[in-house]
Amino acid sequence: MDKKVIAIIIVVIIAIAAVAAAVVLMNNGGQKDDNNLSIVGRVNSEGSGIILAQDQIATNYITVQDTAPGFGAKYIYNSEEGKYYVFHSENWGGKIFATPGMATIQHVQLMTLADMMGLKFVSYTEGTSTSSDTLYYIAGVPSFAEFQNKQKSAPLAGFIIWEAQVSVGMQAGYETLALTNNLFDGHTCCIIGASNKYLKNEANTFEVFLSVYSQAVDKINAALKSPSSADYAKLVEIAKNRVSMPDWMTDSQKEVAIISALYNVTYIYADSSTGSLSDLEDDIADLAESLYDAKQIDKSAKDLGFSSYEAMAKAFVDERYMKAALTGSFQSLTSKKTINVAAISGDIHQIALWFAMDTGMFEKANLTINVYPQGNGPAVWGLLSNGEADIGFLGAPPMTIKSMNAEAIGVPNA
Amino acid sequence: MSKEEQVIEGEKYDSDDRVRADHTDLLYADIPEGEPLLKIENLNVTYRTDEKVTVAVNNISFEVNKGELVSIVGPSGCGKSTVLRCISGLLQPTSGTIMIGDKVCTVPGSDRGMVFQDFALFPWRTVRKNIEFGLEIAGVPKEERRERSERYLKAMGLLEFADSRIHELSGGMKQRVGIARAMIMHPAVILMDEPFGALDAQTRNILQESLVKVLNKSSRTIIFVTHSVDEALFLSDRIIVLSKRPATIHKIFTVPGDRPRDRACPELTALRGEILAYLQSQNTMFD
Amino acid sequence: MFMKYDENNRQHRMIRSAIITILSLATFLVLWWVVTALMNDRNFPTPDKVFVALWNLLLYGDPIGGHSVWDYIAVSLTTFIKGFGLALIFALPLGLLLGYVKILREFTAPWIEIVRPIAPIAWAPIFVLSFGSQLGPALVVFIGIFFPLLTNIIFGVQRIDKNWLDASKTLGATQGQLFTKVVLPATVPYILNGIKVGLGVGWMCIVAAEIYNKFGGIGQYLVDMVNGGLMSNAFAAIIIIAVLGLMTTGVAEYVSKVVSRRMGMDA
Repeated sequence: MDKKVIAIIIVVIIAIAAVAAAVVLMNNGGQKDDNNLSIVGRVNSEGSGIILAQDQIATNYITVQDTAPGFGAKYIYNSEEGKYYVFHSENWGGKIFATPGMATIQHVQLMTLADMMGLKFVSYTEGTSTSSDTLYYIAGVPSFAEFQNKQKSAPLAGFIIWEAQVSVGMQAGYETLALTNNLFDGHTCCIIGASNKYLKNEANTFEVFLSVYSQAVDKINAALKSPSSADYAKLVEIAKNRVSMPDWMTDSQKEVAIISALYNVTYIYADSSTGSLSDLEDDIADLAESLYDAKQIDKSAKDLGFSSYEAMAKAFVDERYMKAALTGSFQSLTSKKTINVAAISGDIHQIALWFAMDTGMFEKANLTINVYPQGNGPAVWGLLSNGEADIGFLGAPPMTIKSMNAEAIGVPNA
Repeated sequence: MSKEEQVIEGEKYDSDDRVRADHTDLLYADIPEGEPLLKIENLNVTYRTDEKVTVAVNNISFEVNKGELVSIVGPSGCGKSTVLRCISGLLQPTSGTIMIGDKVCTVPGSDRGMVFQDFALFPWRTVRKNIEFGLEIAGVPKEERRERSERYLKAMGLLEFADSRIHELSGGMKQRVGIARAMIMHPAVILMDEPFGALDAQTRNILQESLVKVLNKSSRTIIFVTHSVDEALFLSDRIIVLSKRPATIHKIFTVPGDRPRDRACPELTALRGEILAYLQSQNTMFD
Repeated sequence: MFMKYDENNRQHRMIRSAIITILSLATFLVLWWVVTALMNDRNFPTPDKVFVALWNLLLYGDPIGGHSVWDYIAVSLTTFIKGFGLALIFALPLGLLLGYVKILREFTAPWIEIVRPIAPIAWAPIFVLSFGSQLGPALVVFIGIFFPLLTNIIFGVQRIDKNWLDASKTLGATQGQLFTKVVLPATVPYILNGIKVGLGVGWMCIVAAEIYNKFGGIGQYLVDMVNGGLMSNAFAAIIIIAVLGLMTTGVAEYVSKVVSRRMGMDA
C-alpha cells in the first residue's frame, strides 16, 4: 500500500488514542458511588391546587359529599376531612389541563387522577383533535401568568400548580376546583437531596445545617399559629420578597395571596420528632413504581440492582443525618463553613430555607449558604449531579425520576 | 431584406409617446441612403474627480450617413468608447447634441442598438431566447419572433446551437449571438464597441467576413469602434481618427473600394501607413 | 476486487465513493462508541442504547406523551414550513427592492445591522408569548431564515453585471422590463443560495421555539427527555432533527440544481 495511506491510518489511530486518553484523564476514573445521591429530609407536603378556566366554572368536575358514593363511582376519600371527592369523568374527558412540568408532583397527581377516572393521559400537541376518553395535558406551564398566556393559544380547562400561584389565580378572580390537600391528603411534595460524596465528607456540617433548618420550620409553624407575632410579620415579609408575583397585583393583593399560600402549605422536615423518614421511604417507593409504570423512568428497581422498590427506597432515603441533627444537641460550627445549595427560585414551598437565611439563623451557626436559584426541579438535580451543589431543594418526583434514570442511587455508605 | 419590408399591421403599443421598439430604422425611411442620419455636434465629456478635472472628449462633431459603416479609431484610452456610449445614451455628455434625423437622443433606446466587447449575453436564456430578447421587449408576437430568430440563426450559422446555453459557446459564437440580437431589432443605428476585441485573430477575421456578408444582403447604419486599423480598413466606408486625450477629430478618411475588400491591396496599404504613423505619434507610452 | 482504480470509469467512481462513505461512517460510530464508553458519563449514552431508543421511538412512539413520533415530526415540520414560507414571502420582494433602490438600502441598513445579529433563540420567548402557539414558533424560524435570505438577495441584485442592464436598455427595455426580465432572473442563484443557508438556521430555531411553546414537536420532546434524564431518547431526538435538517437541505440542493441548470447559470 501507498506510504501516504499508511501514514494517514497511523495518524488516525493516534488521534483516537489521544482523544480516549484525554477523556479518561478528564473523568479521572468512575468513582461512581461518589456521584450517587440521597434523599435526606422533607421540605413540605401538600400546597398545590387545581385552578379552573373561567368558562369551566359551571361544569361539574368534582362533587364533595359526606356519604360514600354509589357503586362504580370514581372518588377519593379524605380521611382527615371525612369527605368523599367524587369525580365526574365524563366532564374531564376531552379536556386540556396545564401542568408545571412532566417531572413535577402536580403532573404526577393529574396523571393519577386520569388513571383513576379510566382516562388516557396524553400530551396536547398542535393539531390534535380531542377525544372524550382522554385527559390532555400541556406540561411546562410554571406560573399563573404563563397559564393565562397559554389560554390564548388553546382552550385550557384548568391548571394544576403549586402555591403561591394558586392564590395568585384566586386574586385574579379565578376559581379553585380543589387543593391537593383535599385530594391527596398529606402527600409528599419537596424534599432535600444531597450528594453522597458531600455527605461522606461533611456529615457534621450538614447536620448543623439540618438542625438550623428544622428550627426554621418550627418557627414558621409557630408563626402561622400566632399571626400577631414578630416572626409572622417577618415570614410574610420574606415571602413577599422571595416569591415572584405578577405586576398587576396590588400590594394588598400580594399580601392576601402570600398569606393564603402559606396556610395551604404544610411545612415539615421529618416523619417524627426524632427524625425518622420512614413514611417518606414508603412514598418514594410508591412514586418510583408508578413512575416506572408511566414510562417516565426506564429502569425498574430490579434493573438498578435492588430486590424491590421498598429496598431501593431504603437505600435512597437516608435518615441518619436528620436523626443526628434532631436528637443531638445543637452546636454551631467552630469555624466558618460554606454549603452550596440549589433551590427553586420564587417557590413558597421552600420558604423555610429563605427564612433561615434572611433572619440570620445560618450565620449564627457559622454557616455560609451559597444559593444557586434554579427554574425547576430537574435543574436543581443537575447541579446536584455534577457536584456544583452539595444539597438541593426539589420535588420528590424529579429527584426520583432523574436519579433512577441516571442510576445514581447506590447502596448507602457504610 | 429590402426597404419595402412592411410595417407590422396594427399598433401594438400602449403609450403614444413611446418609440416603436423594433424596426426603428423605418422611422427614418424618408432619409435616403447616403444622406446624414446621425449628427453629433460639439460633443464634450469632462470628468471631475476630487483632485482634478479631466477633459476626455473635446468638442467632437461628425455625421454618419444612412447605410454606411463608420469606424472610430484612435490611440489607446483616447475616448472612442466614451463617444460611443454617449451616442447610445448610456453616458451623458457634459455638453453637445446627438441627433438622429430630427430627434434629439438623450437616453438609451432601441433605435441605437449596441454590440458589446464582452458580449453581455444573458446566461439564463438560450441562444434563441437571447436573440429574441429585444423582440419580446417590443411586444412582438411569439410566432413572428420565432420566424425572425430562425432567419438570423441561419444567417449567423447558429442554427444547431439554437437551444444551447451561452456558456456552451466559444467566444466567436457568442459574439455572433450578440450581433444577431442587435441586428434583429433593425435599429436606426447599430453601435459596436470593439466587438471583436476579446477574440483571437483568426476568429476575428472570420467574424469580420460574416459581418460583411450580412451588410451586403441588407443595408445597415453602423458605428464601429476598434483599435485595429486593419479591421477598420476592411470593414468601413469611412474612418474617423481621433487624437489622444482630450480627444478631437484628427482626420476623417474615406476608404476606397467596395466590400469585400482585399486586405493586401495597395490603396488600403497606403491608408494604413498614414493612419498608423499618426497613431504612433499620438502614443505617449514610448515618449 | 483490488483491480486498478480507473478515474474515468463511472462505476469505479461510485464504488469508491460508497466505500469511503461507509468507512467514514463506521469510523464515526467506533469513535462515538469508544469515547462514550470511556467517558462512562450518564449523560452520554453509547450508540447501541441510542439506536434502540430510536428504533422504539419510530415504531412505538412516545409512551409518556402518548403520541407517535410522526405526530411530533408533523408539528415541527409544520412550524418549519410556516416559518420558511413567511421568510420567502417577505425576503424576496424586500431583498429585490432594497438591492435595486440605493437610497432605501442605505436607509434600512442600520435597522438590518441592529436586528440581524440578535440570535433567534433570544426572540423565542417573546414571539411565543406575543403571537401565540400558531404564529409564535413559526416566527422564530422566520427570523432565522429571513436575514440570511435577505442579505443574499440584496447582494445578488447588486452584483448583477451592468452590461446586462446596458444591453437591455439598448434593446428598448423599460424600467419595469429591466426588473422582470433581467434583475429577477439574474438574482435567482443568489436567492437559491440564501435559501440553502437559511434552511440550516431554520432547524436550529425549531428547538428554541418549541422550548417555549410547549405544544408538541420533536424539539420539545428533546427537552422533555433531557429534563427527565432519559438521555438515550434525547439523543434519538437529536438524530431525528439532524435527519430532518438533512432532508430539507437535500431538497433545497436538488431544487437549486434543477433551477440553475434550467437557467443556465451552473457554469
